[in-house]
Amino acid sequence: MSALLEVADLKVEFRSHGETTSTPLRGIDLRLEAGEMLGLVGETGCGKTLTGLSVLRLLPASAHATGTVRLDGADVLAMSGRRLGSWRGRAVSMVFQHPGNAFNPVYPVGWQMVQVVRRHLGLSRARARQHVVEHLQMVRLTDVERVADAYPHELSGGILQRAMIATALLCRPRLVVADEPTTALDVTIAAQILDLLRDLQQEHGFAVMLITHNLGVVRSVCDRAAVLYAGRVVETGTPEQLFSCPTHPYTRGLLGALPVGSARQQRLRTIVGQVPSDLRTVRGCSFAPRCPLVHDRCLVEDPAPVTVAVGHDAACLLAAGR
Amino acid sequence: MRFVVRRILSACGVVLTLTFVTFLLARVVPSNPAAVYIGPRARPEQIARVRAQLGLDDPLLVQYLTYLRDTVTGDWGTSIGTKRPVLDEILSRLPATLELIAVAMTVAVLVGVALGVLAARHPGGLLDGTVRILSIGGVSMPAFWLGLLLQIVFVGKLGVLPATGRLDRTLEYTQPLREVTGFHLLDALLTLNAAALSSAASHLVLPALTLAAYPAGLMARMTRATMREALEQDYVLAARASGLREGFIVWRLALRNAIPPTLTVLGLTVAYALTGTFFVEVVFNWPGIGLFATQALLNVDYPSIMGITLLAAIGYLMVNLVVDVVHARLDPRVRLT
Amino acid sequence: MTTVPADLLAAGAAADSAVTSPFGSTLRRAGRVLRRDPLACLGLLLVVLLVAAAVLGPWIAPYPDQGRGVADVSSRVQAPSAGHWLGTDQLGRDVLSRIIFGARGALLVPLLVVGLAVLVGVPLGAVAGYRGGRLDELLMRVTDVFLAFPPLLLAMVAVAVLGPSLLNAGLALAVAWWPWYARLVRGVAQSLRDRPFVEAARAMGVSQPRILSRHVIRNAVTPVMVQATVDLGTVILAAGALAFLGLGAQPPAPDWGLMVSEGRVSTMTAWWISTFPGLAIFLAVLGFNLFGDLLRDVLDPRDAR
Repeated sequence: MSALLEVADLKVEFRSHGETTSTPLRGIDLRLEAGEMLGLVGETGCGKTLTGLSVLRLLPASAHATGTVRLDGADVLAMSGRRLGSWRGRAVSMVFQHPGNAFNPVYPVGWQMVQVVRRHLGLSRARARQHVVEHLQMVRLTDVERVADAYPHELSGGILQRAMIATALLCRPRLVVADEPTTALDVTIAAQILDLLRDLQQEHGFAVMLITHNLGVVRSVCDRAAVLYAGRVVETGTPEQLFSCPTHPYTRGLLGALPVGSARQQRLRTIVGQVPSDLRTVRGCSFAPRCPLVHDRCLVEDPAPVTVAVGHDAACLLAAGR
Repeated sequence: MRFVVRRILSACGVVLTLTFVTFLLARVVPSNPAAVYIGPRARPEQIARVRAQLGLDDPLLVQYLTYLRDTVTGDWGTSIGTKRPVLDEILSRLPATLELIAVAMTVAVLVGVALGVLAARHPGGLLDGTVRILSIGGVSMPAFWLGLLLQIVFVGKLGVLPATGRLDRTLEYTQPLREVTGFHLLDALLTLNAAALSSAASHLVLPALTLAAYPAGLMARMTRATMREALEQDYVLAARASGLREGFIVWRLALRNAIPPTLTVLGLTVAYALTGTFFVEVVFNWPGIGLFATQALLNVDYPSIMGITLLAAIGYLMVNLVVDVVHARLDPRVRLT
Repeated sequence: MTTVPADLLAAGAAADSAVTSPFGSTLRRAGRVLRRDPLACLGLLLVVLLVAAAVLGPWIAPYPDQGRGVADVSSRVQAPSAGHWLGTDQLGRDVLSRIIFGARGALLVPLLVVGLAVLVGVPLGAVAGYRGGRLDELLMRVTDVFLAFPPLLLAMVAVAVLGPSLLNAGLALAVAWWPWYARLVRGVAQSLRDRPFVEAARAMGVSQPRILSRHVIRNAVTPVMVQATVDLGTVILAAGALAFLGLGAQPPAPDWGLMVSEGRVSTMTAWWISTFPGLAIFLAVLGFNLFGDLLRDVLDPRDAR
């Protein structure tokens, strides 16, 4: 049985003048089942946004991707340009972090949504408008006509983000990639948006790849999560598995860094060191320089994912010992 | 709407100040304004008469107010060179210049913007490099030299286009053009005069191209820069993520964002066009304001000079006003300021 | 007297070093841009050629006397040949030599004009922008009047009034040009006025002239330099245009614009008389435009094209 989305050994490198300048993704492996919400977690620069963009093949011209990204059986990386154009927005769509920037400032919001509808569904202008209005209602917006006729700068971040979710769902995609959809919103609005996303997902059955750096978000809405570090997936599992039994030292470090309760006098715990700046020269485990449990083997051998429990994998040489 | 009114008011203020400056230039700066006004070959009694006429012994403010009154009522003085009222001279020559500027600017904007967009789509590519060279070449080229070059090549060597004037002289006998608006292209269309239309068009080609070189280069440079920035924005990425077609994204979504900043440059290019016509009209013997003005400057024909200065200022300000209004319409965020 | 908090002091010191960029790294950046961009190299080359012609003129011109204006009636209107690479004009003068001699005027006039415009405009703009208030209002009104006008037109009218000569053309152009620099520096001064490091300086009791010269003008140097370089080219164009119309340099000066105008009567038969001086103007302007781009890339990499 194949999953809705299968990412195998996805590598992305940036090239300039024939030379490789950086390798932000060094072999990503992911599985996403239909109707599932997978959280992609990691700190800034670990490659999670790039992974999301790769699913839609929205990479900049200087980026070269290898590996396979199979969505609903079709390899996105091998698709022709024409097919890709009708694929994006229809089979898979994306929600961006800054809704204010993701909408074109010189056209009304509704007009922009109508363009997407007419592109994929070929409806007349009037029917397309109707379709847009229905979807704006679906994301629990009130005064929908006003929103549709408004320009992006006239609407608040929360409203715009709902509108963006509506745009992403216009053509009933099977997968929605949400890149940090709540990071730019304040806390109460963020919670509402996440609830909305969750409810819509259960109602309409699409899968969501939720990219975030916020572990709390993962815990509250995701079915499963994958932890990324330095361009690789280091651990995958359900939120319960990750929170109760974190296996990879990086995951442990992340969880340990969460401030505990009301412990005011204590200093925040951090992970020592920094993410390696040049990933091209990494040998062995990329986390080894910072790992409190590092062995000599870790500096030489690149750990493959090891199954810790059903649905719970960790890419650490020590995990195999459990 | 209030925006427009405010801009008109401020423009009026500037024009008023300008009239004062030109007035000062003509009356106060020269040591003998009357002699200067009437021309170098005046006799003493003529000078005395002009002194009385201009009221040069009156206080300065009175002189200025009379000058203002005259200007507003249409009396812009008499040209020393042609002995006809300055306003008449200007108005009779205006259509020729406007036609030239209109055609040239249209070509410049269309070509410049198109080239800029094409260059921005593939940064670093061959088209991008070519457009860069062409646009910076266009901006650096002296208009009078380009005009001469075009004459040498297309008239002298190839013989396909006429060298000077607006219409074929022989047409006056075979199929004379009836003037309705003064714009030969328009008139030829309106009076269904095919021969005149082709003649007018062929006479327009070289002067318009010469005048268009600089604005086209400038527009191409600006559009390339603003398009490159627009194409890097998140909304372009989002549009691609929604599967919208690339052509639609470039020409309708991104371009609309890239145009407003180029409009400020458009105002600059009109300034160029105002002075550029001087040279183009001289080289091609185009009977417009530029040719008239050049002769006026060389003969130190004061009334004409002042009249043309005023006209240029008004025209320039009006164009800037239109540009501002269009800018506000295209970019809804500007309307708030 | 209260002591200044350490962080304000640090802010001031940090701002100081933020304003001055080490010369070495600038040179290195220049090298990188030159290697990557052939057009930038062309710009540099053209400017160097112009300066060389202006400085070494009398020694490198093949016919120096003719360059100065001495006629040689026996070799009138000769097409380009081995003896006269660019041909001769109606008075038999070698076109190449005249062009080389013309380089001096072509370079000096823009330097004069831009120099004056900068000397007048920059301080005015800095003071007005920084102090604001009525001084600023006054400056804005005055520059409004000047800017309501294409500078060339203004210069043309001024020269017509003053009488056609190279000097008058230069002065007229300078008068037409200074408002642009005043406005440019005014913008910089305004944006800097409320920045923390300027407030810090004020808090420390630094006198206003010192603030203006150390912080405001230092920060304005880059945009002014880039603008000035491009303007050198524009002024060459303007001066040439004035001369072409008869409003600038007068015969027998080897002014490029004048030479184009002189050659006009024989455009069809002796195309070289007008073409080469015009080409010289074009290349000079092109050189300064490209050089200005190069300067902008090197000094302000944030504006990467």
